[in-house]
Amino acid sequence: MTGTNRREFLKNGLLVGSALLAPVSLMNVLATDNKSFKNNTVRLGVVGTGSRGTYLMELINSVSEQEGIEIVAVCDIYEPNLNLGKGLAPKAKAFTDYRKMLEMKDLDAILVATSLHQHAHITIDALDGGLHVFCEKAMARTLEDTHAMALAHLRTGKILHIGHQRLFDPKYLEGMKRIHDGVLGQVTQIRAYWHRNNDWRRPVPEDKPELERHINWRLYKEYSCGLVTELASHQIQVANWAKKALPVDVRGTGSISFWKEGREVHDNIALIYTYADGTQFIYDSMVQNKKYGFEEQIMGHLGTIEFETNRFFLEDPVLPKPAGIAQLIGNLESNIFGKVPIGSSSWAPEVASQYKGEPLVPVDKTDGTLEQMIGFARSVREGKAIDGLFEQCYYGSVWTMLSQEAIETGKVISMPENIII
Amino acid sequence: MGTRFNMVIPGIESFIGEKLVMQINLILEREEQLLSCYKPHSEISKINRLAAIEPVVVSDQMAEIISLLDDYWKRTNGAFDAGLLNYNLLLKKNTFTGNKITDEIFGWKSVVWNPRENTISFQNGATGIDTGGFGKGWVLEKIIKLLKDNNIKSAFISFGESSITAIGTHPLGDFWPVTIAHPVSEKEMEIELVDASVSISGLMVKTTDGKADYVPHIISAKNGVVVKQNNLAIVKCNSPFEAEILSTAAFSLGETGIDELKQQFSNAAFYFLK
Repeated sequence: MTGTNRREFLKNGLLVGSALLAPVSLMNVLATDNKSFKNNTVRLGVVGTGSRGTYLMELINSVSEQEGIEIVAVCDIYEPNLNLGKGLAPKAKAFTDYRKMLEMKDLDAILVATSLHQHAHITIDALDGGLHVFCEKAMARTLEDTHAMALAHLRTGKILHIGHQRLFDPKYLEGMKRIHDGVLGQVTQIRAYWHRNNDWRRPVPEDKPELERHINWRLYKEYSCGLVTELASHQIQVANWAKKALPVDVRGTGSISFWKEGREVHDNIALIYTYADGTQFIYDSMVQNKKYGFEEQIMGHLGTIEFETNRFFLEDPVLPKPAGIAQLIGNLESNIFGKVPIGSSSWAPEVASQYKGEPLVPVDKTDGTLEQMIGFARSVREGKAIDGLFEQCYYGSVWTMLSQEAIETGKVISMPENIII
Repeated sequence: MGTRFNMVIPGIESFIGEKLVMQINLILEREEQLLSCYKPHSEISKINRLAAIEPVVVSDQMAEIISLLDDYWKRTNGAFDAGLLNYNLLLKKNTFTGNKITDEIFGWKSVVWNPRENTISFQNGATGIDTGGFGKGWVLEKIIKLLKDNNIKSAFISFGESSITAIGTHPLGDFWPVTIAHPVSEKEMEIELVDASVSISGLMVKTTDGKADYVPHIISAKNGVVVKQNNLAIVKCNSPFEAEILSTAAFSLGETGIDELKQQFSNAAFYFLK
């Protein structure tokens, strides 16, 4: 597709990558083929060995031999975190300056799990240095940085994976296949939410209060957009994936209503996205009530999917016949002298039937993060990106940034043409 | 009773209906205290725990029931045997290793009933009274009496789907039309009820997800073997208590073995559905 055609495609609200990123293709990526990668190891450097970075390292370690991935370098500017990274990769070289790490000659790729505002320059430097990059979501703190990362990816031809792990989660792959095959009918509304009940604060050493903004970067606008980048970004990507399209516009609001302890980012937000076909995507997130947890509800005229809980519901499920007594009552109320279909040898206890839907996949044991790591390593080894994957993630991040703009300005925000890739 | 109770009374004033519901709930609770094998403090549970150790003095209500069970055991020539509780429990737990009880000594033949002193004892610890084959019918008798005492002329009751009672006629017809379907073959038969009850016995049960399941729980009176046939035995008669007992007896005898039962209970109609 030429650049001009791509832009026209996007102007019509269609997400180019979705046409390429069929769930089936991702399933193929995850298919195990028992290949041995012992002689073709992907050598990885990890930048940012805090909680997320070390979690990813643990996952990689669990499949390092089988998948041929070796962590050869770790980097963090905060010593306690660097020590955590070194503990998980004792043979790796340790750095406090990522630029020094990028100078290593035997590095294939890096993994970026730093605070959000550092994603862009680290990623761009690595891509320009000839390395492939896996960068945690959201892509960057600003729309400009997000665009710059995409341009670097396109300019260098190096792989850039963004940490939207749901793209590799089997239940999402199965659900998206059903949605795109029309099993849900016409999807006209999406609802999503992410509710927690905690202050998001991490402990700061008493003797080093100057580290507050560094450690609790998620609470300050200079480094993060709070709920929008840390949580909503995942679900924005899911909504666009389900619709195979991008929104026409977004409106939103947010406030600090509960955690008034000096944070700068909102502790509750609400957003509404409109797609070209009239579909509304209604979103909210908060950190002062966790009753409803988190969910993405994709609603069509024939069915509903609730991804996080692995459930699929038909609007008109084929259920066991209603109890004869219910039919008798219905007939009596309609003045019908009908037969009562009742009577069986059922001495077993009977309870009213309740339709609870069905699971999308029989066993839901992964959130896709491990599979995404494996997929990234295989792409690096083959030197070939998964078709459509980057665009999915890029436009997810773009609309994450536009959501923040909508909240901050109170305006209805559309996507500027100049950031289309 | 571990099952569902449904009742339809057409055209009744709501306050009368609500009052009847409360009274029926009281009957159900009271009879459960008498007959539920699932309640450890019910009278039947007490009997089943103690009667093998010493004679147990029972209440007048229980005495009436035991006399009836004894009478039906004799009149059905043992085809209805309410003394097989423990055998059924073993079957449910799949821990009964044999396939016959002919040589075993438990069952109603091991029950010693003294109606003059209202005492019951079991000759061995393996015997116990199973209310599953008559309990719903017994309770339905009480409820029918309540409804008639309250001048109810038309009502339809389903107790666990297998015990059905009709009072009077359908408000739009001359009878209550009931369709009974086999859970596997889905073959159907129609029965017309007017002041009558119907009971269904079989091994196939509908589970809560609408599927059919096979649950052996009835013993053949002819040879003591666990009945494994897939047909339903259906009995229609005026008494829900008798209907339930006779459907169990008919099922245990099989379609070809019920001639004597038909003669003994000529007021009842017997059907089999395959």
